[in-house]
Amino acid sequence: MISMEIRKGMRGLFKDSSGLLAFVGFLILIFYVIVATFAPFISPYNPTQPSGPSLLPPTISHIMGTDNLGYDIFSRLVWGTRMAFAIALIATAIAAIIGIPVGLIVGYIGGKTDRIMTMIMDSVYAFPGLILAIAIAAMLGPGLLNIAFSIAVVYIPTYYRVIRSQVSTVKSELYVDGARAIGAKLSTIIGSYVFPNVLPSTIVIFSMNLADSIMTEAGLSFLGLGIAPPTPDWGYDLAKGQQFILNNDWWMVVFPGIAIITIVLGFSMFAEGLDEYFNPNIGEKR
Amino acid sequence: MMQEKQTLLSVKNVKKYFPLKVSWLKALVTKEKPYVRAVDDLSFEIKYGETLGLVGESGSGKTTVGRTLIRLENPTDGHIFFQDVDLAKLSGENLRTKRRDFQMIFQDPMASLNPYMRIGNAIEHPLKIHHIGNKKERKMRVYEILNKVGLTPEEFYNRFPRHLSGGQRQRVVIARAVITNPKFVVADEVTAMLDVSIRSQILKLLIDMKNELGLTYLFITHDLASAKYVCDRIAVMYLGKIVEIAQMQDIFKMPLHPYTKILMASVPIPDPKLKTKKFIPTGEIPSPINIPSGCRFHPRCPYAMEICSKVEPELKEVDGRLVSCHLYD
Repeated sequence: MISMEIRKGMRGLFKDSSGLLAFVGFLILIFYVIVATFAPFISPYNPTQPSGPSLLPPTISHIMGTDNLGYDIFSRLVWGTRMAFAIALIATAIAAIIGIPVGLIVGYIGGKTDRIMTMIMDSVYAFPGLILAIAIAAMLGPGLLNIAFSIAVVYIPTYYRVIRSQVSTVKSELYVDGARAIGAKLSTIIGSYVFPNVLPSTIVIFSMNLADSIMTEAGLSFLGLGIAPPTPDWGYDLAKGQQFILNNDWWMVVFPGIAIITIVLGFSMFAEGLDEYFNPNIGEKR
Repeated sequence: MMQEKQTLLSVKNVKKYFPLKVSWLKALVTKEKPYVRAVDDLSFEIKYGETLGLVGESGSGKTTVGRTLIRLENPTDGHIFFQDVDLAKLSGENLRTKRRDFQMIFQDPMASLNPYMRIGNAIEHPLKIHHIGNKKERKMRVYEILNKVGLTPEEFYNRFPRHLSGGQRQRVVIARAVITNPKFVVADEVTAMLDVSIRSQILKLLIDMKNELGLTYLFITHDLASAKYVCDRIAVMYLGKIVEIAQMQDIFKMPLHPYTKILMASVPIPDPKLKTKKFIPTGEIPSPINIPSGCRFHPRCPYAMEICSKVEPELKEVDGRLVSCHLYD
């Protein structure tokens, strides 16, 4: 997965400064959150209507230029932030809501259920993420929720795998035996004794998956399977700009590209920082 | 006090075998499945208000006995009569609700508390699970029990286990184990992981709790000194079997079984001038997968006779106690 690669690279760069890493990532995220929240006030033009001559290079009135239909690229990027966040959050939430409970229950019960479930999840995991998302998105058709769901399916196994493996170590802890000894129900044992102890790793995957799902979403709309135009969307803008790159109209590709890169970088750095914070000895194991 | 003579827990022929993993190829060739025979045909009784010590080397199956008695493990065979209810046959909801009557204190206080549960909630949880009292009453009860185990409630109620020392945690574990007023408590090497300076305090606490709440203990330990301090009777275990059960004084004064003798001789005596001849048992405790034929102790026994390697001795009454050794036939 992309964010994994970025994380690996960053480990080398910021060896002893996970705090700084998380902080920089956090700043980037805050920046985009502010942009998304105040989009109506930041964007100078309506992103779904032509606001000037087409293919205008960056000028003072259109600081990132306009596209072939005369839409202001800056306004589209600002509004696109909302779309990126919305889809990433919904997709990751769906994946977490399905993946975490399944991982908890299957991991605790173990045995045959565990083997079968792991096999299913591994086969989903083995698919290249984007291709699986394309297949599901093509089946479900466009629309925000459909896109989010097709991305979610790709990330369910990530939760499942991490939670399950954590649960299988936690369940042999003495305090879980203690919970059984006092007569706790299965749901209580899993809810109050196992879940809190695997929660930290969930938070890390959550922020990591946000980065990945933004990439996947951009990929889907780049391929024309995303949100229906003219709704502002980075992946779609990138795809459109790509047609004019031979024309030397660089601004249509560069700005959406930078937006995607920085937000993914922000999430990854933040995830990396969280990971170091919650699992401080993971670096030694590698 | 009438109750004191009555039997609280009666263990009959309890076995706990752990199946070993075998590759499927090997399983095709050999018919018999290999087992770890952790507990092999154990029978004993514990009376109301009594503390029975269970001593033996590491690997003799003491902890498995404890875990099986309170049904953290399912016995492979046998009966565990607890006030006329056979715990070995209970399951599901019946077992779950019965659990408030028997508890276990684990060896490692560092690992036996949920790191994400505040002390107050951890102690209250057994009450909550068994729907005892309302919120206010439960909190009162927790305060009361915290006082009893020697922790100031105001200070500790909202703390997390990581803020506590080993001794304090063990006090919390004890509080949690006794809060439902159980009748029977398995104390599994409660002092093994604690500093020597704290051990006697915890042992004293256990005795106080017993006197105050009328508990009955199975006190599992390999530390004979602490067994001497708390136990009424002592059962010596070797390789999943009990080799001798006797009153505490008798067993320390005059151990009968050769293994008990060796155990007693291993207790260090704080006198550097004293030079006693000791028999140190040769070798390690054998693997419970391949248990020696006949008497389990014969490969290490200084008194081994010919019969020992052939016939397994039964627990028999000798001088008012139970011993399983051919020396006393």
